[in-house]
Amino acid sequence: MAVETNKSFIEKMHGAIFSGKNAFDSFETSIIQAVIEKMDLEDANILRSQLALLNSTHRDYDEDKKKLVVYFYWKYFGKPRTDFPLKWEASEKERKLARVHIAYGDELSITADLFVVLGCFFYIEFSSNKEEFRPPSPNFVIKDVEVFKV
Amino acid sequence: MGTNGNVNRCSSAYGWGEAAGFANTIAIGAAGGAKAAVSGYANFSHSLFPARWATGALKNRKWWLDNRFGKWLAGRRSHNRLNGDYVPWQLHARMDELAYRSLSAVDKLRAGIPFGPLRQAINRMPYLPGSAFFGVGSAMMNSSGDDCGCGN
Repeated sequence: MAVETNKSFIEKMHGAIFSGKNAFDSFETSIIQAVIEKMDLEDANILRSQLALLNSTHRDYDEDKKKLVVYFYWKYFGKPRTDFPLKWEASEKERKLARVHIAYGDELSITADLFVVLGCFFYIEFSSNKEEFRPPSPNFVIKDVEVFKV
Repeated sequence: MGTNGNVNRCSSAYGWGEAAGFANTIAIGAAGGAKAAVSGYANFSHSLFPARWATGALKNRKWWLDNRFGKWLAGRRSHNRLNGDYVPWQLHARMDELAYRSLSAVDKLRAGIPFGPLRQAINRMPYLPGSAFFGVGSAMMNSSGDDCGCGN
């Protein structure tokens, strides 16, 4: 599905330079890719179109909940934008989009919950059995992906 | 107009005028800072000393804050504009990691990413003393090199 946008020249230049760069690490990219493969076509298109614009990340370790939360922003001249060309028409402000279970051998298991806020994909919440939120090497296995209808 | 040559830079009137200009520059800077600080925002950011430092220091009876001056300057309930400003909640969240964490996900999305350490440090300078310092600095720059050369 093509996305029609009326971007100004400055928006196009800004997008060409900054969008989609350095927002995700390889582990996050694998998780998101696994979710997209499980989604229906319409939701996958919305997610892909938003991912293409996200350009900033904020990683925050919550000591109380023992969770790592990674927030993704579409930042435009320092300000966050939420007017994505394609958005979910969510009735609730915050909804869980998907849950992914990842295993690294027998010793480490990580759960990643992906959330949509105001119709925009916004954050991933990682929890783990050992307070390690990244597998030590790329030899991890995505064991299960649950996708929820937004 | 060619009148500058008739100005007696050594006169006391000239000296008083220069001093008044200097004070005025500082006052304008401070007034600008005060105006910026009370422009209707409800969120008070304890920016020079975070309120939690002051609270901790007061609890642990640190000598440098455990006194009336310390409570006036940095107490949690003291919205002293030598130590902070009323700012939009988005700016407060971006200057203070704990303020960001206390927001809901919706507000985090609207507020934006917290600033890096350098930008936080620059933004944490309270407007009122910051503007006064700026006034002093600019007045000193303007007055440098104005010696009349008479040796008095």
